Amino acid sequence: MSKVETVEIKIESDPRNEAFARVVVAAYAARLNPTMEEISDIKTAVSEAVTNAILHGYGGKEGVILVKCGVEANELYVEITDTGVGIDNIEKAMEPMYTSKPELERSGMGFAFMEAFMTKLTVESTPGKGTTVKMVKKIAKENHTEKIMDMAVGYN
Amino acid sequence: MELIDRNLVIHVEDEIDHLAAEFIRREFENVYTKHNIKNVIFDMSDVKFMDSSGIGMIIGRYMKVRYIGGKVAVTGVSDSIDRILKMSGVYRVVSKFDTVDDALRYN
Repeated sequence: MSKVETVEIKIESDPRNEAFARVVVAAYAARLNPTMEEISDIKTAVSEAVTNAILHGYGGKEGVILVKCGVEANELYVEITDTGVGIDNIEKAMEPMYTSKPELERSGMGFAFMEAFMTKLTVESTPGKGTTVKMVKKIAKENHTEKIMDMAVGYN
Repeated sequence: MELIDRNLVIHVEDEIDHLAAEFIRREFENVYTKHNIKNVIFDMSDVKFMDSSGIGMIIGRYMKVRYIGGKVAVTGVSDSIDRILKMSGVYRVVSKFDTVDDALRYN
């Protein structure tokens, strides 16, 4: 990733880190002046990707998850990488309602949510080596105007 | 959680992710084995964040009670949570009400 001002964090494959990761990415994204809705989209997508890494990538076992963020113009870039089992059939995994772990009450909506809430989603995976989920979120430019207008009329 | 007749009302707190969903599921199973529960109402008025783990949790409860003719409802749903519930198609089997009282009246 060759974006300016990037942030990288390494987290353990621990469910408690799902909340940590999504909060960190949301805080990083704040520099683009996103709306509450955009922040909520980003948090959901990051939560899905990190949960996948923990539950599927590492199968609940130990491992390290790398979270990278970057910005370019009004776009946020997020990469979430695990070195777990990888995905055999990415197309199948991305089908809505498909889950490889029905016993865990997973809805199979993880990738569908990432796709729906982010502007762009790319999944790269090698069985036995791991998975990288790359997501882009375009932050609407009007937000900036809104902010400036708010300040101008004294709301902020 | 509170039991009103055969309705289990689950007041969900703050955030529903994988960890919280597992916790709620365990609590539910505990209560479910001890009481004659028919309907489940998720009071979402304090929920600020939800991912697909919440969908799995809600559908899981529906699968459980539907065999005995039970219903699952959600109440106090914010716009952001509503978007997620709509997108997932949960509303095909789960009803939405403004308040817990409304849901209880309906059940």
